Amino acid sequence: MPNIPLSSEPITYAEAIRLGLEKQLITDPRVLVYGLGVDDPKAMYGTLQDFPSKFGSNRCFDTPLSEDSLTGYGIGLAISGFKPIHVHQRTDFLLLCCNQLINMAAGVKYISNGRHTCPFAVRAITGRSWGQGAQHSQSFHSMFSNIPGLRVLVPSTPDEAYNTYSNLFNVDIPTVVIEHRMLYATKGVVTERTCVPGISQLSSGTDMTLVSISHMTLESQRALKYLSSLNFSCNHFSLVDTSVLQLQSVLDSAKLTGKVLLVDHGWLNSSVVHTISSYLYTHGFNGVVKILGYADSPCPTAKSLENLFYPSAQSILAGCLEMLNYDKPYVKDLGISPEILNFKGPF
Amino acid sequence: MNDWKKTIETVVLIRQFEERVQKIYHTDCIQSPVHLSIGQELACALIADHYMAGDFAIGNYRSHGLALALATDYRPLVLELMAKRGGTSGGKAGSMHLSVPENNMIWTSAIVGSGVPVSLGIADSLKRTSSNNIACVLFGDGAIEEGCVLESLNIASLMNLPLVFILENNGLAIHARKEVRSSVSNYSDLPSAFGISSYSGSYRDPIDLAFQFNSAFTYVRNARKPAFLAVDCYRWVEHVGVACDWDLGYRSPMELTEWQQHDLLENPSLVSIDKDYVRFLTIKYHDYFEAMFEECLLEPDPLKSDLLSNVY
Repeated sequence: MPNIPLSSEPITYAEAIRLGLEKQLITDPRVLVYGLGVDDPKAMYGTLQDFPSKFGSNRCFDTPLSEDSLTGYGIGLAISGFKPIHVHQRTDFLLLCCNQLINMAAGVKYISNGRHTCPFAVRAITGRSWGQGAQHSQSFHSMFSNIPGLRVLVPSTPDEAYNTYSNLFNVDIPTVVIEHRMLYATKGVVTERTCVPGISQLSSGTDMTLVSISHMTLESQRALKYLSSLNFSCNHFSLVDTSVLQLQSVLDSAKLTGKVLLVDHGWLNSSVVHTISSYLYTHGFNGVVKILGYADSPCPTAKSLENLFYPSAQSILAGCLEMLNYDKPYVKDLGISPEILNFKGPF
Repeated sequence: MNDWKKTIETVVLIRQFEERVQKIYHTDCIQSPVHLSIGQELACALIADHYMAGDFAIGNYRSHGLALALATDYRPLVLELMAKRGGTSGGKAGSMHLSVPENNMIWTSAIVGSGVPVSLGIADSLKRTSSNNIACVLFGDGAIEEGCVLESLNIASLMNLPLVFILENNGLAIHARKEVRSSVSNYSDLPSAFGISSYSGSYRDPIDLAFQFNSAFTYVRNARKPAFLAVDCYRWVEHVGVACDWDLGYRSPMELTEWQQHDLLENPSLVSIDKDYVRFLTIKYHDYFEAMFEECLLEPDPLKSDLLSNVY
């Protein structure tokens, strides 16, 4: 089946999520969406707009908080033939679900020797800005990717977001999808695909290779835009599936360019980007790898510190130019990215 | 009216199976922790008595009894205990994660209380697809101290789930008595606080216990709402392993003596059953499992290729 543009007009990341989920609920009556606030007037930042009226309050429904037990509830539904999606307004709350996600969901297929599968999905949204602080900002894709039996997807673009959700249940694997609040207004053209893109190539070039995750993809695109004005080009990959890594195209690119920058939206100890680096070096790459990610601290609330906590378009640009041995003057302040600068709460 | 001949046969079957495990455990043919159901067989037998085709059961790490009560073929369970390839889960589950596919007993969890939230989803699936099937979930009194069990009571009540919560209250969490673990004076107060119909019974009165099981299962099946059934019982052997543990000093053998007065196999006359019937069944299942365990020893282990199968 060929890939078909969903629309010639760019749509936002939030709209792409809504359309992908809507397709799931239209095509399969066993798909259910639940979690705290999913049917409230804000409709999870609009990504579930009108779902209760369209699909019924038995298929999109509010719940008690009880994140731990409602994860087990979803596992029970999934074992019984349904395809539930549990929604969390912040990724940080997934820590309350870890027993069920790791001890239970991830082992369903293995411990039952394939008799049961667990097509259960979790949607979690990582926050940033307006003082999200230490407990409304974390992204745990590396931690969850350490668990065999769990699939972890971190879409960065509208195209990735749509195809993540529209193909969510093509496989019966318990899945954690980590969205990013700062990406919700990002626009892009969406193409209908027949599987979740494990990795996307966003631009092509010859001078270096860059792999980014989550909101760092947007920051990287800004850095690369400036880089192109200096006549450098880059193979830019956005990693979506951080659990089963599909790295052949990155390896091929790395061997050609000899320079790889990995930009994570997470802490770097025991991280997926270090796994990528290890993969490259154990598969014949002998060039240079540079890695950027969260500062080694909890996320601070103070704006001035928060800006230092994350990699930025500026620090990504600096990382690229260092690898490219660029020693001429260049812009020292790409500024705070607009979605961060302009974001106001209250949540 | 309970069919006590049938119930007692299930109790004998479980007891004989567990005593076979006790006899052979020292040979290391079962190389995993075992949590025996000895002394706690009756609840499992009564579940089987009230179980209908299409119902679901969720146990816990002490579920030899439940699995045997619901199984129609015991050989895959023996093989699973021995972690053989022909076991119910190909040897990947073992004693702590037993399952009975032919009667919808999902594999069990070794994390205390963790099966209870899963039973919510299973019960909701039955609510959505069936007019008479129900789910039941077994957990011990230690699980009451897990937050997810209290969360689950609330959710089951809010959602009107057809689910029987069955508390096997043996008064012990490993070696810790209730007095040091819980400030709840009466466990049956908890479901009442969530608006859940509450039932309670004890192994001290088997006839009443059977009545309570019948009442709870009938209520859930008809009302399509949850019920909570608290069952007082006693763990005859150590928490994990096959031996008695009186030497540890945390409990007295006098307690067991007291509970054994109410044991149906010691005193079948409590339910008007002749001792000869129990003797007959005991010999039958003794020989049956002796032969089955010996045969299963000869079965093959999992293959190397099984290690990475069925992960994703």
